[in-house]
Amino acid sequence: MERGAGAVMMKIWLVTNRLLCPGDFLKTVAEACRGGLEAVILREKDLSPAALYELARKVKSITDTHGVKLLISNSVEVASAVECDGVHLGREALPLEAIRGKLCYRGRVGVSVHDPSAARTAEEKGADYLLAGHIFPTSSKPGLPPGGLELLESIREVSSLPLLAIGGITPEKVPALCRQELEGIAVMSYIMQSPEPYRAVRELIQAQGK
Amino acid sequence: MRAQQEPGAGPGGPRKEESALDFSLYYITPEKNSGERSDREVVEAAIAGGATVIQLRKKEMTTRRLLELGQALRELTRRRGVPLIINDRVDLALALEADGVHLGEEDLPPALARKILGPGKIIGRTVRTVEQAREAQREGADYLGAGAVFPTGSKHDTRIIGLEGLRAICRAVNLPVVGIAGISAGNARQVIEAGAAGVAVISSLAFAPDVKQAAAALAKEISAGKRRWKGDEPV
Repeated sequence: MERGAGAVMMKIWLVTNRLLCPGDFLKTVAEACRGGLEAVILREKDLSPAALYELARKVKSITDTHGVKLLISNSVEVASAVECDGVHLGREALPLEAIRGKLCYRGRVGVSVHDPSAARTAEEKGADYLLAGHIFPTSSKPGLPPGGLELLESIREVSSLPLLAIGGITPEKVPALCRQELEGIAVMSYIMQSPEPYRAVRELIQAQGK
Repeated sequence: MRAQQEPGAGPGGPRKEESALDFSLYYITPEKNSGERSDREVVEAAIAGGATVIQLRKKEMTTRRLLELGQALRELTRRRGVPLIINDRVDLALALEADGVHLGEEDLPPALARKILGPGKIIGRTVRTVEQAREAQREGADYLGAGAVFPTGSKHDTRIIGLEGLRAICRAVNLPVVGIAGISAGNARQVIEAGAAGVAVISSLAFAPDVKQAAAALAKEISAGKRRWKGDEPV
């Protein structure tokens, strides 16, 4: 089958890291939202729960304004406190089975996976989506070999969950990803480090038509 | 004297009756145990000696290991009928079905913890001043941890409030107050006499040669303090 003009577009998710941001963090998030994001994963590992909660409230008012979803990375308590759209569980987080059925709110629960067996386990335990990475070399994961497109293909073979790719994604990499039946692409550096986050998101969307 | 007693007037003042919880001897796990001891063994011995509340506190442990340790302590404390409180993390308290959470200044505020955990759980808050104590009471905390009462080796940079500071906090709120830092069998009675519902200890139990015996010695001093305290109560 040819993927023509009717092909489903990959959604763009922003994974934050305010320490990478050259300008004002909240302004960067707002500009990226305006560019056409689907979701923001607030991932600010160094903040205390109290500080993360305060930041999450500010980010949520921005994402709400733009109709963008907000998920919190790792902190189930802050996700519950702000009642956002979900929580994303990375390596440092409580495992999915420990929180399933105990949360006081119903948000999506996503899981970071680095190999097919983790993907299969996450699906069995009831994950709502998978974030697979890192696909391309990235400064966020120095020294670790990237999984490449093969990682996405191998996960596709074992899981039918919505799949997002992360790691080193720039507009130049987008056409290759378009062939992977992804729910979306998750981007940190290319958006956070951009002096023009609005344009960075537009470029990631427009690269899909090429 | 009787006419002057206000709610929360400290020793002798009315206590929160609905709270059947006994905060007398509140044991907090250390970051590292001495020698080959496991947290489970120390907690078991502490309960055998008279500990009435157990707090799981490990600032440096990974979440997954904390979850495993918490599951072991949950099983043990449930079997022994002693409440298990989780330090800092509301989500971990939820995951472990713990009895409550203890919140510091950098953690979620008590009202949000309540929203997440529900009405039946115990929410504690660390305070140093009368103002913070009143604020915590307004925010719906069930009990307060007040300190540092005495200098200690466990926390280096905490301000010492002394027995006077503790007494002022106990008088200012209508909540059980647990004194923390530097408390041993040698001074536990004074802490209770200052109006505290209990004493919180780490090293006095964790690093004692005989944990059970050390807990029993502390428990004895605490009840001695409480007898004296009840003696002052208006009839």
